[in-house]
Amino acid sequence: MTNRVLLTSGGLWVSQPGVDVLTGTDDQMLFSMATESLQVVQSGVISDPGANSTTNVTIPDQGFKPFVIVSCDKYNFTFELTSNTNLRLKTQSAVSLTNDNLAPTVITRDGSVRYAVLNQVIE
Amino acid sequence: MTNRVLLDANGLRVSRATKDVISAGIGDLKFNSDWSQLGVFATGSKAPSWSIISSTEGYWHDTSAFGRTFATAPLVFFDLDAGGGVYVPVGDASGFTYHQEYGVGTNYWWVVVQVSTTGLTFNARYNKPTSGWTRPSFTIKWSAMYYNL
Repeated sequence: MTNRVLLTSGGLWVSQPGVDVLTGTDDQMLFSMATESLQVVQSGVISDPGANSTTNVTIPDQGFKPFVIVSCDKYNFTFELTSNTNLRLKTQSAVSLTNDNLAPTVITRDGSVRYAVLNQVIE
Repeated sequence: MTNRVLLDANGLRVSRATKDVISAGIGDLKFNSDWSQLGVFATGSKAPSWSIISSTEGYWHDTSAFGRTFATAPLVFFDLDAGGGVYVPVGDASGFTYHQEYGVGTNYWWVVVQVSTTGLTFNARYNKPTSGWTRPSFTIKWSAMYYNL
């Protein structure tokens, strides 16, 4: 059986399937002391904030401005980190859809905004 | 030597290089078992098969099932590639609307992709009253994560 997990006083390594953790390179690791891991520190859903609105969300203080994923299926929007702990979302107008009422399926966009704060710094 | 790994009854923590895991703040951690981890559940791609309304109009409706029901809609990354260098790929995380017009609302196409707890729904439509304008062709690639938003 392939060795997959190595925990020593120097750290922790987990290899990809089929790769021996004792001989594998860093790019063959699922987890390595030499590479960063992408994790979600906080996430949430903001109910439809409406068009042309501003919403501030308090996020955990990691000591830096983290990478954030934001999405919405209705509005054009921008977002910025005004500090290490504040995510500011600004919606604009809804993305217009010509003839959406003629589509075979009625399209209802709920306007909610989803976000995820990651543990990686924006370089 | 700096303590980098802490495994105890509270879970597993691994600090970033040169940071002592015992005294590290959350920004000093490269892994924390209290946080969520992104992992790919499934991937796929879709291209429209247009249903023709008239000589100038068409629509597309399609779905992709996850094969399971999530507690809440999962995180899904998208890439929309219309090819030809006309449109740049766009990424998103839980569905998106993309609308492209040519001229003053006469020639257009749009696509809406929405995420539910059970799968993806694709809707698109085009109108091309101006002769010579070709029917839109694009591919949507997606990666659904185990992680829920």
